[in-house]
Amino acid sequence: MVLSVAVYYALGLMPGDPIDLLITANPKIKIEDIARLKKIYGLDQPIHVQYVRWLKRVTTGDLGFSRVYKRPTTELLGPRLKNTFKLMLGAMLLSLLIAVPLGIYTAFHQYSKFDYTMSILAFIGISIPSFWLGLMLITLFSEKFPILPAGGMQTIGVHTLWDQLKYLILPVCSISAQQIGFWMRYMRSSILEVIGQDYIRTARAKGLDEDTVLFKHALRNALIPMVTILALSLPGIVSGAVITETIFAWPGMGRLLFESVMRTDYYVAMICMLFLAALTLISNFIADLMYAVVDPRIRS
Amino acid sequence: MARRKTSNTKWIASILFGLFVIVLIIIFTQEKSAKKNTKQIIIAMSQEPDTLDPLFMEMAAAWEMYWLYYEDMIEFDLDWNLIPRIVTEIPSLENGGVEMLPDNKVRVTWHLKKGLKWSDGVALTPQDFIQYHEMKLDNRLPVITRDLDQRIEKMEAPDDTTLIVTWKEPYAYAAISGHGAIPKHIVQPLYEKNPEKYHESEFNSTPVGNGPFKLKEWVAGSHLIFEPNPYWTGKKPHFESIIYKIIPNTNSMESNLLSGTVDAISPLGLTLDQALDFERRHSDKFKFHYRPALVWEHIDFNLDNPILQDKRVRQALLYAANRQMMNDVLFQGKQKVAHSWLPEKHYGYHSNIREYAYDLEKAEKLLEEAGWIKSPSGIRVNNRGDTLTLTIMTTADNKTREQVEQILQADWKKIGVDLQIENQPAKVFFGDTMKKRKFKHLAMYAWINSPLSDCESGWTSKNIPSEKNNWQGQNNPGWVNPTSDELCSTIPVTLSEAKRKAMLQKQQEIWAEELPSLPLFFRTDASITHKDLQNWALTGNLQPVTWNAEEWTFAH
Repeated sequence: MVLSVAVYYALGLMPGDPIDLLITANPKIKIEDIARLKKIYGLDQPIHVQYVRWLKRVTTGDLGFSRVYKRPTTELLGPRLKNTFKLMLGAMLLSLLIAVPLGIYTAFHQYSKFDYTMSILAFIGISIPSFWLGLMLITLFSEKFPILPAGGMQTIGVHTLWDQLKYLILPVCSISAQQIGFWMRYMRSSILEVIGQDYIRTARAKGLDEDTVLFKHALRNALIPMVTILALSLPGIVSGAVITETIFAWPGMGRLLFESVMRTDYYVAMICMLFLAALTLISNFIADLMYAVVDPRIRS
Repeated sequence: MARRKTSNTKWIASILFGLFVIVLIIIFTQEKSAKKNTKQIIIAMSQEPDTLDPLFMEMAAAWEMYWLYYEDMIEFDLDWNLIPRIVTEIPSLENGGVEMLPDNKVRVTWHLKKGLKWSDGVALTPQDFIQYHEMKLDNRLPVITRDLDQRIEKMEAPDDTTLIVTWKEPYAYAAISGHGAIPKHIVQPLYEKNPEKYHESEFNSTPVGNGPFKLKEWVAGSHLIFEPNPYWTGKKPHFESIIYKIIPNTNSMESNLLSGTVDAISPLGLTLDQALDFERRHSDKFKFHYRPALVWEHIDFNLDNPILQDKRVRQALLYAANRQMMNDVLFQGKQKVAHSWLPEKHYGYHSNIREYAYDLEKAEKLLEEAGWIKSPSGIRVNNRGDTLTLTIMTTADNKTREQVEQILQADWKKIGVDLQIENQPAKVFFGDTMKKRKFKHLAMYAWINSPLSDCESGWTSKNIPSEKNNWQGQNNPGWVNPTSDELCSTIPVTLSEAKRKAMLQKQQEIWAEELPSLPLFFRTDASITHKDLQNWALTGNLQPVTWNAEEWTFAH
């Protein structure tokens, strides 16, 4: 509730009333037209009255109608959420699949050539701006070697899984480049922290083979902070990545939120932001629960 | 140790195998999609339409779609001449279609062609025009512009092909504006069910029109597909589908074109400088289309400011602005330098008004006459010790405008004028600064003219935005000129085009002498298409490129 008030007021503080902007764009608009339009959209009322009206509407299950997209907010949100979920989940899974084994391997081969190479690559991945990487991937795989589509979600009229996967590859790689670097470094430092502990030395001293020490003792303990961080990353799966979605013409939540804020589409922006805020709270809660699940010390 | 090495090899082998499988999949699927469908065209566009209900349309992207699934009463041809489309002829005083009534009212009679149908097969009748007109006037609907409909006293339909429109008073554009129609059989039930909520109905995204195509699918944020309208009575379209792909990023749009994913970039996709840049890199691979248009780039002087109240200062600034060089450097000579606020193809254009070719000597002389003397620092001062420092504002992040500002800064420094740049986000600039005339000296932006534009909203003193008139009007410089007031108020009620033309030309003569604004350019529309695409023609007159979509085809 407090959050919704803050978000609504923050949106209200933005300069440029959407109806007033029409005056500069259209010389035929009259004063009475502006007054009429403001009345229809409820923009003639003070911000607190507008907020109460919005709240009443939302509590009855009506999330409002997008002034910009001329569609119900729910109709807009559903497909966008699904699209972003596909993209971000794909990116996260790919990142974890690559980053976790690499993190483990580099930790156990600390200061080896492979470790140095991977560390450099990780830093490059983290540092590369996503818009640049996205454009480079398009240039390389869509222009120079046209084997992948430059953007969109599917070939129009084609509804196969392969076709959709093909469209996912470049945006997923663009997002994953950063995430792989981040997760790999995190996993590596987590393992390094664990293998310096007394119980690992004890395990080795009692003659356990290296794989048992690695997978049974070190990895399980190193994963505890990873699981927590993973839970906290959940909102990112639905909030989307504005830049990647824009470059790859991917109709996701990031773009929807950005466009609705820029075009002062209150209803859509409010619901998007509240949804994300709620998800952040839930994720924090899940992270706390997960922490207790994976770490017996917390339970006790 | 040996065991760990074996494990590593397995890892690497698995990864390589995975990559190999992915590459195979890509190549296999690519093979299939590589065959070009010549019966379909995919067009990239950066904006997505807000609605496809013609009652509420405002965005240029929506109008580009509109011309695919709607056909108007009349349209402009490529030379900006009006031609009838779904009417038999354009009414005029000469052919009896326009009649002056005794009480100073005007009656215009339109005859629709026979056999017109909506894309669902139902007949299009004058009742559809009346429905549209009535809904436009309904205060409960968020219709944006109603100026034309408010001038109409009544609309009548004596038979299935005749529409009689009675205007409250003479209106210059009564017989050349045309009227909109909406399928009454679909819209009326939605409207009557809940008028307040009609604008939220499904007609926004599932419209029915009378044009050469009809909407097949609209996936928000992704694409729109149009297919031929089987009930259209005009020439059969060549394409079996027209697909609009929404690509918000211009770099991605170019990549899509280069990779063959799209066949054309809409004029709403790239700016002129982006198209020119693309042409430099890929001139041999695509067809490039340029057309001088109606959008007038200019700089308003704030005439409330004492420095700018002196006409000589305004004229000096224009003499010292090297607009031809800007055009050559920034737009490869493709953007026409403006000498007035009307473009060359407008019927009211005046070719013999005062022009201000780049001339630093004249500029310096005018400033000296105005009492601005060069100080040792190079910046001019007046006898009160004020320096000739001006501030220019425009929309931030508009690369072209920022470049123009920098050139002006350098140009005007040569005559001792210090130009400070203070740009703002478009929302603030238009929503607050321009709306309330808060710019201190100069403001750069564009006006969107139409082939029928006149000077009433822009150059009459009643249209100076102020708190008193609730910031209404477009006379942002705050120009007051009784002769211009008189001419500009008379033009909209003058039926004769010849008389309107004479008045517009007279007004431009005064305007060019007084210079309430500094004219820069008329923008040029730009678009890029596949080399084989035929009949893709930009109009430059606000009529979108889709105006002749039924004629588009790929050369075989």
